[in-house]
Amino acid sequence: MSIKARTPPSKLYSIQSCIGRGNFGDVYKAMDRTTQEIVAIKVVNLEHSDEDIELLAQEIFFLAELKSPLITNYITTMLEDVSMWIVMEYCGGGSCSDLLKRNYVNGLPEEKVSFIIHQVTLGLKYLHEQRKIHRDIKAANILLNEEGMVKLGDFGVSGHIRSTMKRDTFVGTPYWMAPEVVCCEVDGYNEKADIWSLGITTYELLKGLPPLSKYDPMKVMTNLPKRKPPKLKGSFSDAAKEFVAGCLVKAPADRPSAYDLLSFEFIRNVTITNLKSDVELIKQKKVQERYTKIPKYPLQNRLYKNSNTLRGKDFWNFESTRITAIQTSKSELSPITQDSPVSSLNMESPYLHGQTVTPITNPNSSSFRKCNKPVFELDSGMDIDSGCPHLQTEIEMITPSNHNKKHKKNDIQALKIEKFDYLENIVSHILNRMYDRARDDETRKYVDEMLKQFIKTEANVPGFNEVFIEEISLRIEAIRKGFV
Amino acid sequence: MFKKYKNQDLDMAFWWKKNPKTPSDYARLIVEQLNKFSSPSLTQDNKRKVQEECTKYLIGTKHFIVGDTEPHPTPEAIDELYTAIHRADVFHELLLHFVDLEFEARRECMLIFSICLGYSKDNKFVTVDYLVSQPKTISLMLRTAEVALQQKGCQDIFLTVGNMIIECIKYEQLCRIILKDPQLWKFFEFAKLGNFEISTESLQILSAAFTTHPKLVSKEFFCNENNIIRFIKCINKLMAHGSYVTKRQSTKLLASLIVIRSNNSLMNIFINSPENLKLIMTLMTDKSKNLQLEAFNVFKVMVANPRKSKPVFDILVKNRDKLLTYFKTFGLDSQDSTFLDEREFIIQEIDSLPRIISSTTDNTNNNVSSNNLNSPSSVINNPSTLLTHSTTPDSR
Repeated sequence: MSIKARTPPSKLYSIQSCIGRGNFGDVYKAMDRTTQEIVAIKVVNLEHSDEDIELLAQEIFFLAELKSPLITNYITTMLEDVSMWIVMEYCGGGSCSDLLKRNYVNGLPEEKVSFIIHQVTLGLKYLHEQRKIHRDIKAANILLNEEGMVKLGDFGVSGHIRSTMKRDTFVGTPYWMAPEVVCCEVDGYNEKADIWSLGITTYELLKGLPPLSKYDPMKVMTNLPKRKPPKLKGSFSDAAKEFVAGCLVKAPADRPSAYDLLSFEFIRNVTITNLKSDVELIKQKKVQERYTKIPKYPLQNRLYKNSNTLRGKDFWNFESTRITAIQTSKSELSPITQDSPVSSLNMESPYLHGQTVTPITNPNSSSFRKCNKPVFELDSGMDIDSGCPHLQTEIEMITPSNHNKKHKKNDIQALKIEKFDYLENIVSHILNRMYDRARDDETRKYVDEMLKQFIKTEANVPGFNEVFIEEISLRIEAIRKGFV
Repeated sequence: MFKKYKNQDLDMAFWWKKNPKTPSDYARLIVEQLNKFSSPSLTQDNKRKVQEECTKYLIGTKHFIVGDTEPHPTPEAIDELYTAIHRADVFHELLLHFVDLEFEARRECMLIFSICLGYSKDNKFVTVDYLVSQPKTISLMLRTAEVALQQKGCQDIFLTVGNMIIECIKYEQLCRIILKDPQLWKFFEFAKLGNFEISTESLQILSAAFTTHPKLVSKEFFCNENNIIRFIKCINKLMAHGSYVTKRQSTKLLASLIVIRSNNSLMNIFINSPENLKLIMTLMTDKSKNLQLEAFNVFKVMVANPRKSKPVFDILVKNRDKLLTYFKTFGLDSQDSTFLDEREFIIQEIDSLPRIISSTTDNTNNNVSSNNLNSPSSVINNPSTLLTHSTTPDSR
């Protein structure tokens, strides 16, 4: 690849499907158009990330220095619009967390755990030799490729990000955190933190859940330094118990290194060479479930739609010769055009311009039923990019003045509306957000069922979702205007 | 590539046991192998052999230096290794042949380098002191980044050298050498390249060089007016024509530099040029909110300046109403109280600019209003109140 060419990654890779999503970025399966190689691309929207670009870049470039069959390797990073495309090796077999969820709810058989943990320990040994800490070892981050080989994934970038993130987003990981990570500063721990997490992960793989998982994660985290290390109990081999106890030593200095762990009995005699059959099984199940995800930031939503990005000269008055007269009357001030970045600043996310395009993942959903009165505002109630989970704020965004302004745009809206998919862009979107916000699996299950119900209904009653949303918006409108 | 990793899984300690060596042998053997790259009779097969040898020796050196070998090396042996590395100018030699090395070898080289930089004995960073006494190594490092760009797979090489440079910048004495090297300007050029990794890494290097040791930078770099003018020219190009990321990073770098009190001369030269103001105002209307914010952080200094140059003042006056309209919506959703205070202050400042009252484009009217503008200091009649405010350029 040339160093000068600014070929956008979307020209180099063809996106196939969204395979993961998160606050930090959506992950896509894609194909390199020239080599036909399948890759995973993590798309990080920089305009909507609080992270420092410098920090992100530093972490990513550190990844560039790692290459090993034991980890998901970094390929390259590119810029598309305002998103960073981090291209990584693709692991088609999913994660060990999928394995637990789909094949072994009560834990994997010991010989499989021993194989996985052996590979992970080798991977950690490699990482630690490169003076790198993973920071986020857990079943969900242990990936499997199509051949059923184990690879450490999602490290560096996400690890760093998560450790500096705000509390609500980092709730997912406390069960695996080492005591010294909880009580010290980010710089206050070393690679031994990974060893603790490895112990917890071994426990997780054997039993299906990490220790203390029935308690509130924040409480688990705060109590961790005071508590005795968790113990693996039950009908497991002494070797497994010894290994877990070996990792879960509270003082980091007394914890064995990855190198030391390799001589533990539990992973010294591995009988399996891959998990291919399990990977096949997961794949089948995923196909049956029509496993797809809807990205948080659809790729079509671009900030810069044409090359003309600097519009200052049109907006400001930079004439150098003479000061031009400015009208005093407000109404005669040179009007700011509707599509000016300034006028739209806080009213709508710039990303919504592309919202009408159907997201990649679900091309079969029902299409828009023709309607000649676009009664409600498309872009007011669904500020997908605000990242604010509080319903109240979202409602506040539909202020009356905002409303009037938008109304003038109805002609344009009407044109755009043609292809608008209510099921995908509103209902699925909302339920996906709710899924993310759900505290427990039970709630998630209900949300999931609800989504399925909507999909099913739309298939039988086309336009159901549209009318449903229309009614909701009419009602909210009425309530807001005090007609109740 | 794949096969090599498997080789690497071999227990290196075992390999070294079979080849017992004194610490200084590591340095000697690496340099010996590196010299073979220069041999005119080097065939492709031989080259691969030499590359593999280099990788092996470098991995061995790393294990030794971090004490991973069995038996653990004594502190004396480690000291001896450092001395040998310095005496044989190992880093200089490695950089000379950097593009000839394998990926792993370059990475090991970078790891050993950063370990060496951090190594101190009797409260002295021995490798840092060595590099100060032998500045040719740093100079070569900066040039190697450029050489890397001519190579196949250049990003890998560039990133590795880049990380070594960033490691150096952490140490003030080494940062001084880098700031004095004219090669540093080249990184502004690299930052404009289309390759995301190279442009971003180049800006990382520039940001690190100009912000890690602020006193050094203001005393020894921005003390020179030629440097200031050239710096502004270079960074303006990045802000105007860079990619989205380049624009954001370069604007941020500029904003962080001009608010530093000791960078007064940089600030004064920058904020008094109408061209710079136009650029910054243009960035403020970019579609990216983040870029708007970064640009605002420069703009606020220009507006808060109690002694604006006439051309700058004129532009602000001409755009008074447009600016007020702009600020009606700009940054409203921010939660940052410092920012909101600054925003409020800037709005007041703009509001207090003279208003051009004229209903026609009549020339006489224009002249009247222009007359008003000729004495900007009369408009801002109390600069001292400005100085106490948090957004004034001098207060940070």
